[in-house]
Amino acid sequence: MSLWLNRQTTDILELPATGIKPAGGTKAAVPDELGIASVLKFVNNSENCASMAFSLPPHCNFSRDMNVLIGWATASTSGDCRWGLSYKWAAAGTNINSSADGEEISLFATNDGSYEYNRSVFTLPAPPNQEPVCIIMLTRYGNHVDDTINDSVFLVGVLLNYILK
Amino acid sequence: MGILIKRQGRFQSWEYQETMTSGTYSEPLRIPPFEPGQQISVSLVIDTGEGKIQFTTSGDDNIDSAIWQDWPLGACIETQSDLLLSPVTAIRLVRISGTVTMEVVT
Repeated sequence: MSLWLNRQTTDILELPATGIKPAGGTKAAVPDELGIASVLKFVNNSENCASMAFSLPPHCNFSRDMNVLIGWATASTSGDCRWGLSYKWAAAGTNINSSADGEEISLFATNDGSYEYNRSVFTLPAPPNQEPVCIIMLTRYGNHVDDTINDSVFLVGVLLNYILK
Repeated sequence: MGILIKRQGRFQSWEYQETMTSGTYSEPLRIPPFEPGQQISVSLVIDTGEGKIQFTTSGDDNIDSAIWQDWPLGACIETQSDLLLSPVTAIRLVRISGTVTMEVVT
């Protein structure tokens, strides 16, 4: 029970790995499969990327931070994965052939076990001008000293969790 | 600890305002028992930056080690208001960045 009048209601947009575009060139994560899941593979000792775009509905509260949740797994039994999230808010008329908004958000995510579904959360700052489209670039820094998973990492999907007006 | 200020008027009524331009946490503002049905309005005024309100139901004697919870509106970058429905021991202002103000009236 809330002690306050307002109750926070949230909603989720989901993109499975099949809806996520690997980045171009040598940094691209590549499509793969785990069991019945289609996934994107981010290899070890390399920097791999994938990008996606969410279009938020009008009833989203654009003045509040949002959460980007990523689901991932790896064959490794332990270790940390070094993720980075770049983002750009866009509306009609925004030049999207430009650099990301703000600094890349870093995340050191702990692996729970071999092929266990890990869920890790980035906090995404609210769009400065209530732009409804969020373009995201997700990077695994498999060559980073703090990425201690010596194996490929598989991205299952990405959720964008936002608060309703 | 912050103290509510008596308002002028026929009924028992109180108010409080605090602005933070530095630091993270305000002093706890104790919310005493009021008349039955007397409601408490809490506003977070964002001048610049980001802030939030927290509340605790830990006892008065444990206020220095109280367990604080965010209000339902979480961290805000725009001015927001809410209404306390049930007793709490104290509330406080959390400044995440910029200049933020907490206003309380009952």
